[in-house]
This record gives sequence, C-alpha cells and structure tokens, in this order.
Amino acid sequence: MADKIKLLLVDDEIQFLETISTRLSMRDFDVTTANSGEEAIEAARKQEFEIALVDLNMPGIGGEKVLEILKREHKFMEVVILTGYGAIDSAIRCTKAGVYGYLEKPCELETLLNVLQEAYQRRVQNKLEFKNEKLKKIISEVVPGSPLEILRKLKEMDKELK
Amino acid sequence: MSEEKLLREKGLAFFGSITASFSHEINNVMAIISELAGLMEDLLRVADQGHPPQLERFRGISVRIGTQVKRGEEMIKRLNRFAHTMDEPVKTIDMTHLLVDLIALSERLRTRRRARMETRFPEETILLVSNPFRLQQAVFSCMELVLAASHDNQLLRLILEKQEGGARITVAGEDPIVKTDEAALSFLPILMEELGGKVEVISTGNGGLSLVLSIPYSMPEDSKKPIDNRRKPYVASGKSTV
Repeated sequence: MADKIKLLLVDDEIQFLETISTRLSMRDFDVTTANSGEEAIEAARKQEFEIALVDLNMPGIGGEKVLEILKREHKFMEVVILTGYGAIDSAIRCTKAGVYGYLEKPCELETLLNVLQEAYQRRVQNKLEFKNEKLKKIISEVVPGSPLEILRKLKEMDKELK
Repeated sequence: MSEEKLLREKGLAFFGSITASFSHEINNVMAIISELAGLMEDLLRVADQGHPPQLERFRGISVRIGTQVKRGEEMIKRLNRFAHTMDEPVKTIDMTHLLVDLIALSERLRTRRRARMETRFPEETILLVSNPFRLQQAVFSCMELVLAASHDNQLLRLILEKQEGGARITVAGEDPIVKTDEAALSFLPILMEELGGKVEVISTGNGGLSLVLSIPYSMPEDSKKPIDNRRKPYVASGKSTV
C-alpha cells in the first residue's frame, strides 16, 4: 500500500478536530492534530508534514501567524486555511503569505479533498522545479569534463531532496 | 463627535461585536454537526461494503450531534435575549440574570485571551430600573479593557454587590497593567453617565486594572427616553471620577 499523506490538522474546536480527523484518516491521510497554533508549530518542528489544514481564529497564535511560520520553516509544506470566519482581507493576507487554499466551514468533504489533492500536487511540482533548478545550477557551475565532481554534487542534491 | 453620536456608534459596535462572535460560534456548531453527519455516512458506506455495522460508533455520534444541537439552541436563545435588550430603553432588570447572560455572550472574548473567569453574585436579587443593553455594553467594555490591559491567561474577576442606592459591579484583572486603551477608557464615563452611574478606575494590589461601576436603582428620567425622543439635545456634563 502507498504511503499515506502526512497531514497536520489545526483547530481549537476539539469536537471538529476529532471528527474531521477520523474522516480524513478513513481516506488514506496520516493525520496529526493540534488544537492551538503553538502546538502546530511544535509538531511541525518534530516531524515532517506534507500539508497543513489550519483554522484562522484561535486563542494565542492565530492561523495567519501559523501559516507564516510553517511556510518559512518548511519549504515544501502546503497550507490550506479552513475557517468559520472567512473575510476578503484575511484571504488576501493569506494569499500573500503563500496559502494554497482558503475554505470556509462548513465545507463539503469532497471540496476539501479536491483542494488537498491540488495542494499536494503543487508540493510535488515545487519539489520537481526546485530539483531541476538545482540540477541546472550544478551543471552550469562545475568544470566541463569532471564527472566525479558532478556525481558528488548530484549525490548531495539527492540527499537534500529526500 | 457629539456624545449622542458616540453613544450610538459605540452601541452599534458592541452589538456588532457580540453578534459576529456568536454567529461564528453557531457556525462552528453547524460545522461539527455537518462533519458528524458526514462521518455517519462514511460508516454506512463501510457497512454497505459488507462490514458489520459499528452500532456503538453510531450511538456515540448520535449523542455528540445531540450535544451540539443543544449547544446551538442555547447560543441562539442567548443571542435572541441579547437582541431583545434593545427593545426598550428602560426596564426592570435582574442584575444576576443579566450578568450570567453577558458572561456566556463574552465567552469568545475570554477564550481568545485564554482568560479564566471568577464570579461572585449576591444571594439576594438585585433589581434595577435601567437600560439593559447599555448596562451589558458597560460591563463588556470593562471586560475588554481589563483583558487588553495585560497578557493572556489572566484571571478575570466579576463581582456584583448591592450598595446604597443601587448596585456595584467590579471587573478586575489579576496581572499588572501593560497597556491601557485610553479611547475606550474615556468612553466609559459617558456611558455610565447615560445610566446615571459612574466608573472608578482602581489599581489592584499587584498592579492589575480594576473597574468599578456604580449603578443607581433607577436611571435619570431624561436617559429613559430613546436618544431621538429627547426634547433637548443630550449633553453629558463630562464629569467623571476617572
């Protein structure tokens, strides 16, 4: 069986967190829950997540700040906002901060799954683009005719991208 | 800005703040119910595929839906009671009931600041003839001011006491003041004067902010009329004990 997608789910409403976590777990997601912004940031520092689904209005560190920190600290993590309090100005700020999607609660699971799929697709694309850029750089930087040096750099790159 | 306009604008802002916060909470309840219903469908789909139905999980979900429906009903009732406080500019108010409702209405304000709440109400009933909407606005403003004055995780105290000629409400924070919202603080005396009362700003023993509202048994006759129906323009004296 294929590896599950590692999803970080962040919401201060525990009942909501538990229910949506169960539903996504039934659909091949490996879900970790956090019921505050602080907990989410800490969890992402301890293990790697591919996507984070984050509420906006939470006590302490709010969703916008969580988005900013996650995007800064985890290059390829995609973040989707799921909020009961959607507003144009916050959607604009989130877009500027690199959010993939901005959804309002209650949200149909099919809609959420579509956005999660697209977010994961963007993550894969970004990784590929990064790899290509790096490959181009290696080839342009090394002296022509030194295959061992290219090999060493390629090995380093391969290690970095794991 | 004239005081009438200020009273009207601040009143609208308070009304907006409470309804926005409560509609958000009700939306959360709807989102939970929607997810629970979705989970039931998921379990039914699994059962349709030939797996034994998980009856215990169904029962659990049904109980959780019931709990959320009750939570939503309670919120709607409180919001409705709050909306009706605007019906009459003056009425007889049971102060304990009014404050209990306000505590529930302001839950999100406290949750966002991770504040704990401690209340003390008298055993005897305190009845005042006053404006319920403005009274709630005054106490809510005190809560906002105290919470904004210090860091998160504060202990917020709300005390209702009988005093000569009326009632006294104390809203106090435990932690030392970091900053004060001067604009909000300067509006409180205007609001209290409208209610025929006053506000005192006191520093608690450890430097926390404490706001004491004194409210008379009955509002001044002129304030009992809606602002638009007053014969002469309302001009507050501007005197306050702050």
